[in-house]
Amino acid sequence: MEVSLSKTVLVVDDSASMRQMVAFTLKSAGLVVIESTNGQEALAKLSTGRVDLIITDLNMPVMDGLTFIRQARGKPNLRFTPILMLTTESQESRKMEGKAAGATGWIVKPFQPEQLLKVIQKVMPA
Amino acid sequence: MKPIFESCVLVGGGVAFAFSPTPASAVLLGLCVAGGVGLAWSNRRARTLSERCAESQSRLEEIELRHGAELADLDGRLQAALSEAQFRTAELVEAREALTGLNEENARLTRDRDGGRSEIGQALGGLSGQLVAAMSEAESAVGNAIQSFADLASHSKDLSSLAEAAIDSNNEDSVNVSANAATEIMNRFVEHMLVTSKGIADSASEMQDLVDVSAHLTDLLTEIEAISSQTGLLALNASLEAARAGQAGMGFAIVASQVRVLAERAKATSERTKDLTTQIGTRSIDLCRKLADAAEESRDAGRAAQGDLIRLMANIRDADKRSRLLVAEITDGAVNIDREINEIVVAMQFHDMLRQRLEHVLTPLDDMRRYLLPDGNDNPSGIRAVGPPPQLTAVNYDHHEDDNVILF
Repeated sequence: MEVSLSKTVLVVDDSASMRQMVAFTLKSAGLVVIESTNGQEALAKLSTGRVDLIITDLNMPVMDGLTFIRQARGKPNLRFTPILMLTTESQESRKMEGKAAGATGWIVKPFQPEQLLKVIQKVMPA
Repeated sequence: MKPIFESCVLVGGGVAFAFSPTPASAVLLGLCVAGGVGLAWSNRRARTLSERCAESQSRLEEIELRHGAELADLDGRLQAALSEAQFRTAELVEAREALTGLNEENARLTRDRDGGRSEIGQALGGLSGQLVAAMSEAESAVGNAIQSFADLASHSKDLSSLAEAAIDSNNEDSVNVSANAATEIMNRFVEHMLVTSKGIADSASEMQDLVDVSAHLTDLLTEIEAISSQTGLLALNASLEAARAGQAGMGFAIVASQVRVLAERAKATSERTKDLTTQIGTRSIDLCRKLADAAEESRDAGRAAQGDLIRLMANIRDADKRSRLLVAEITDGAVNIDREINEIVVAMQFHDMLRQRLEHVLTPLDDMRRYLLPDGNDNPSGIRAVGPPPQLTAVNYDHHEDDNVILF
């Protein structure tokens, strides 16, 4: 499934293998991928570059996903950037926390590559 | 008594020593004086004591009379208390011995406990190390596996693209296009051969016309020969008539002679021409036959080549069809590989859950180790679990839930 060329996605996850799997899925669809291991590192990267979509884990050391989304939404250039939460947690209360923080969507691991690409097609601006 | 006696001896000895001429006599004198003084004081003291004993005895008797029963009871109770005290003392001795033993046991247990804590702490450290090593190895192995599958998917796509490009009908290098071009070229060649064959046949036909013309020419030459013979006869008759005319026919005789010579030359030339025409006719017939043969051979060869080419093209097209089927299978295979790799990507995510579970095992192990070995590192493994532990229900990596995606 080809999504759109030259779109950039930031993948934030403390698990290297998880980042690798998401990156493999996105690159196979023609997307450009940059990676960060936690929210703080992601914010530093976002201060110097522009992305079209962010996919972040929830539980990470240094800065967790919810804190990262709250801080990202506080920045004018990231106010409308789609942010998808990709996590093993599936409790409704946590999903509501994600929604309140400003997440665009919530995907429970394990994710299916085709399903992830469909969601990206829906939320990423053309 | 004894201190008093000793005091008296010392006082006496001192007085005697002070007034004696020599130390030895002073000692003896001191002893005597002291002994006398002490003895006198002792007698006086003994009397006093005897009096007090009598008084006490008297009082005791009085008390016995007054409190005999009570004393007997008290005595009994005292005896019982003494027995109890002795018993308790024995118990206390036993208890103290037991306490000493317990203290020793406690010291031993404390030593054992400290040793055990150290051993358990070290064992926990070993377990933590094994877990960290296993997590690291699993991370590395999963990463390598994913990279390999990514390379496999990439190679599969490249192969499929190459195969599709090879059979692309719009590609000028494709078998189909080449076959069509070869057919066209060969058809043009065969057509040209057939045209050439027809041209040769036409040439043979025209050559036959020339042979006919040649035969007609031979007839004309025969006619010319006859005319020449007649002309020679006429010239001879003219010569005879000129001779009979005498002098007047001399000039006519010369003309008749020249006419006879011309007639003979015309006859000779006609005969030579006739020979040449005959030769031309003969050779033309031979050439005509050869041209006809060549035209037929050329036509047959062209048609045979056309038939071979048609069969060859049919074979090439069959091969191309088989190639297309093969490429379609390769493309399907690439699509299947892609699908399978996607399934593998889903299955490989077990590692993320495994990592989180192991972190939640590792963290309490590190805490226990730090409790047992407080002098050790604050975070021996360097890993701390983040967030709540994953649910204990096993995740199914084969069945995909549709409701695991929510868009807000």
